[in-house]
Amino acid sequence: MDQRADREFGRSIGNLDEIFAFVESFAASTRIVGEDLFALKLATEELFTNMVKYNSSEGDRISISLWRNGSMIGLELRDYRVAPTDPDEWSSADLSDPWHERKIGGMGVHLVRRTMDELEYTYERGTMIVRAHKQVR
Amino acid sequence: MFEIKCGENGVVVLAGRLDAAQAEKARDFFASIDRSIVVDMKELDYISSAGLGVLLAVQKRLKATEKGLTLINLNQRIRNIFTVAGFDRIFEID
Repeated sequence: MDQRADREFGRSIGNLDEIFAFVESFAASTRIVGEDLFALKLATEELFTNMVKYNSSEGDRISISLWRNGSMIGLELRDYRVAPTDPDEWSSADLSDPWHERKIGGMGVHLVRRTMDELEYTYERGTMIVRAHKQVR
Repeated sequence: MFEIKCGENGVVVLAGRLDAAQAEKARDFFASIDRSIVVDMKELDYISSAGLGVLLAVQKRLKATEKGLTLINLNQRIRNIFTVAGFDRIFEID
């Protein structure tokens, strides 16, 4: 049976405490724990902060949806009234670079791709939609 | 929440959740560090790319003068994130 939670948050890094509380509450009610919970929190934070940092938006809210369907869990973030942008520019770091050549930023999307099973972006009528999901271990 | 403090014997202790909202707090603390130090992560539950970025910036600065961070007591999930990020090649991890 599908379980789902939806909420909107202000476009600010300062709202991360609320966002983590939202994720943890959903996880507790749907028995998402351990490594899977870590991955869900990480994906939510990384994708939300990237939207705040990189998207040029006329809106002030980002919606976050979390879901569980059997052994699959996932999330969807929607950033409204944004100019078209290329999310690939969010992942500018080369993780194989030696320490003295490593860029300080640009790791977030790499981490999400490696800890979630799937990650996809779409852009529909002024809204950026990012979805990720994984199989619960 | 997130805490960063000097523990016994000059060891820096990280605790809680080092996320994007807390990265500046960590950055400000490490700005005064100019020697090789041990960072105890036993009480650190979570770290994201923002926290990794802070540690990387400190390590790059210290290594330029042949110093560096030694990270100890990483839990398995954080150790996995370090591996994914390639940080196991950048930091001494015990």
